[in-house]
Amino acid sequence: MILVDLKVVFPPDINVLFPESVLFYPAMGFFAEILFHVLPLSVLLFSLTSIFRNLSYENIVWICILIVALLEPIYHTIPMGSSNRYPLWAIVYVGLHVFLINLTQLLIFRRYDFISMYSFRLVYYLFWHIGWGYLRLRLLF
Amino acid sequence: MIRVNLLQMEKVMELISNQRLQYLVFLGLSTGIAVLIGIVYASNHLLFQRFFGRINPLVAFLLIFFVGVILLSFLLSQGWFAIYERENLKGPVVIPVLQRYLG
Repeated sequence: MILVDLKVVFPPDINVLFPESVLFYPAMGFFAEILFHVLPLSVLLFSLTSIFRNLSYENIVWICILIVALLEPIYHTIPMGSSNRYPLWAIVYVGLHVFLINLTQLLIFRRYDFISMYSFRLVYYLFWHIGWGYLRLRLLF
Repeated sequence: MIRVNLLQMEKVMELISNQRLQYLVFLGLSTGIAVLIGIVYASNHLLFQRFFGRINPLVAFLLIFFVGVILLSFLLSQGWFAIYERENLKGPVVIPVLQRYLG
């Protein structure tokens, strides 16, 4: 993602400035976990287990995880695509990148727990939003 | 109707008492997040406007907190997902790998 940013240069205001970012991103991460993961996963699991009673729970969980992992990439790439500012390869890369992060998180949630999933996002935010968010304003603008 | 609601309430209370630690961890995390939101909002109330519009971020957080509690309780009650499991702190990946190769 940093290499993509160096190549296409995302707008300067994509990150909250340091030091507020240290407090802001852990809070936003919590919102993101509930809205992008816990809420759609619960609704999908409840619906699909009620509708497809003949399917095994394992298969249903996998289907739900794959669908839910698509939500955040869609949320991020639709504004990118409609802005006509970025090349297609950058949009595809960002979408794929965010999808893989989300998929990893959901697998962590499945294997471990909510706190582990949230911790994974915190570490990611520490590098991307806080660390790189601070450096990019000095390097790119 | 009232009897069904009472039974459901009893189930919820039973879940909370059986999984007390999981709820306490979620409550602790949520309290920390509320404090962070309070500090950021007090220092610069415009920061959250991009995401929540004119809604007070603490009100939005409260809503998300309750949604989170309800949905995580549902996932927990089905035995599908967990909020927090203590054994994960012991090193979910590293320790079994080390045990395999070192011992």
